[in-house]
Amino acid sequence: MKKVVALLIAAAMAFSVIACASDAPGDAAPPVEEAQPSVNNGAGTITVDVSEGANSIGFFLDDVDPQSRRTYDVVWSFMRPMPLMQNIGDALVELEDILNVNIIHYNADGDIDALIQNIEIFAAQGVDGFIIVIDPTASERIKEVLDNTGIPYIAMLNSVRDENGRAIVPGVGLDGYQAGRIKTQWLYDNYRTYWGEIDTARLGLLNFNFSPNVDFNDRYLGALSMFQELFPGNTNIFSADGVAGRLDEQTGFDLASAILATNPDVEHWFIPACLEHYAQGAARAVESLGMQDRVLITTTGSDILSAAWDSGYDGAAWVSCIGIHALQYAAPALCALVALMNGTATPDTLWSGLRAPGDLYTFFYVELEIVTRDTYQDFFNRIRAEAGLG
Amino acid sequence: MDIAGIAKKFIKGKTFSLLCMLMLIIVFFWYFSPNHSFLSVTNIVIILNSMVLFILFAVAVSMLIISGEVDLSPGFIGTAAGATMAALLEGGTVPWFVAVIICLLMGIGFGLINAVLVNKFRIQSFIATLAVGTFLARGFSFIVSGGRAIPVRDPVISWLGTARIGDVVPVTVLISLAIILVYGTILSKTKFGRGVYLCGGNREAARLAGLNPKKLSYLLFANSGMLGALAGILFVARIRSGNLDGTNAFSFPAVTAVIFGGISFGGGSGKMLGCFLGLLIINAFNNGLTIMRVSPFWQDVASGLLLLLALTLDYISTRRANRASIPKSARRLKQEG
Repeated sequence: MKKVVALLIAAAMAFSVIACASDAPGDAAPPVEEAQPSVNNGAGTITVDVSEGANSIGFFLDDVDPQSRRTYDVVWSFMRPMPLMQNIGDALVELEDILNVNIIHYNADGDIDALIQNIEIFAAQGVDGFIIVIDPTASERIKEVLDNTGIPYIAMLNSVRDENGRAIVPGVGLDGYQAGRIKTQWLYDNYRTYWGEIDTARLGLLNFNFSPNVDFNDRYLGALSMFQELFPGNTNIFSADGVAGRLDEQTGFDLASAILATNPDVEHWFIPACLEHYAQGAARAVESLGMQDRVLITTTGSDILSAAWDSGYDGAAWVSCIGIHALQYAAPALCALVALMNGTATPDTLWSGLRAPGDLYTFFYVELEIVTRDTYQDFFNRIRAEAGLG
Repeated sequence: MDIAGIAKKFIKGKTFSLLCMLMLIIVFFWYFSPNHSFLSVTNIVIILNSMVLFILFAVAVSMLIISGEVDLSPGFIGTAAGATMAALLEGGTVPWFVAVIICLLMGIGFGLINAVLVNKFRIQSFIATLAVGTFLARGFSFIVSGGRAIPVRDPVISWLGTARIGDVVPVTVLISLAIILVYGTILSKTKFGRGVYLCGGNREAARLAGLNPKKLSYLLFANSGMLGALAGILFVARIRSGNLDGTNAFSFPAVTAVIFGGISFGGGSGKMLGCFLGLLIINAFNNGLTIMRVSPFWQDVASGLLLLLALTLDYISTRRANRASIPKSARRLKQEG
């Protein structure tokens, strides 16, 4: 019996591996006779910035016809399985044919040690490039391991900075501080449409944050600074830090309910949420308190709200968000990586015209645009068209 | 016992089943991996490197499981120790060896708290260690680090975590292999080790035989805390940062690997070799799936399937062994009655 079960185990393993493998096993190794990607770590003589001609979402092609070379194996690696990571992974896959790459997904399930180990595993298997979310808690070490592989890579979402705050890895992400400022600015520009003239002395800011996360904190700080500029002297500023709870809708609901219900002096509210789930929770809190006509909510990211709009949501309070399509992350990252693998760009030449003063490499910021129920579909269609997906 | 008898006993044993399974995995992935790279030196080192922290946690919990207790706190203790070490080294005023000693003592301290809760307050070890881990040690990590990741730049600690002997074998791999070898020897070749088995098999019988199960429990919990702290130190050395999530998630997989390796959850049986083989099988399997480019979502399913089937195998073999130990006449009587 014992041996029968042992055989069963072997059969099950064989079945699961064969069933799950994305490629035929024998196809995984690159053909020897074709050109190998060259690695450019900034020491080469390339001076032309091939990314200069990128369109508004950062999509570009270099001088190498993708179909004239072999298919590159690119690892999409991240720490935790989240909808955003899945969406970016899906967007990368959508670009596979256009850029002639094969995307390999890897998620470390929260284990940073495993993330590092797997960089080495993939490197040993001869992959051509990495698009990787470099966890800020161990960015130095991850960068070191990536550098040791000699394989080109692009950082996704999180910028990697040295002790002086200079970006030291080319990457693609979102400017959290600007996102915060844009949201509050939009609320200011549009509140009269929803409320007419109001007493701005009785206007309040409910500003969400998740302080351990630098990017969310930047969004919080940006929203705060813009509010202070627009309404100097207004002290109705309330911080709602989700660190006491989690990154979920319930935490947004709990924090918003408590603040909205216990500050009757504030007549109207701006809520620029740093995270969609918090905006979702705040919207529910507003509805349960019957304050729909006194609160305006906006947020960074559009996955939840656009899906709600698709299914007929017409919330009076949660009226807008910064539209973000995963292709906005995937397209510039993959185009840049392909250019690195082709040898037509170096980390130094990539997006050189957009480099922030002092940075060693450029962190490419995705376009920030507020969308509403009336504009979101046009926005997403435009993003897809600019990524070459019609 | 003659050679044939020894061979028969070996073939019937758990170690043989584990070796067979390991061989199957090796042959399978060797054959199907691109360029047969599964058995390349680089990949073998990668597999061993991926086992380092799990080995420490597995050794810590397996000693306790054999003695009839369980400890779910080492992962959290590791995080606390790692965060503490990063905080101590941050200013550059505390020498690395002082920081390491403080962290190891801290691990022993947490282990002793576990032991007191279990032995003095009679709280089940499962509950006591979960509480100490998830609340005390985890809370301590937050307090020490102030809720942020602390970079570690001490050259000795960095060397410890990333250096390779002969540019091939990571130092941490050698440390972990040495530890499992030492603990395996203690367990199988010393009076202390026999005492651990005896306590796990029958605590009362052990006490009547002149052993002190309570004292042993204190020692093993302290040891578990120390090994957890050591793992936390190595973790921080490897990623060069005191990370708030740290090694929190390592305890459960370590316990799983220990059970997989044939150490009975009921206590009193199992070997470090089985524990090592269990870890090797799980890590080699995961490595093979990655090399085969299996989607990470499917990897979890495949690993779960492997584990479930292995545990079924263990259940069947245990049941057969139990049945074999009951005389035929007694079994017939039971069936009739």
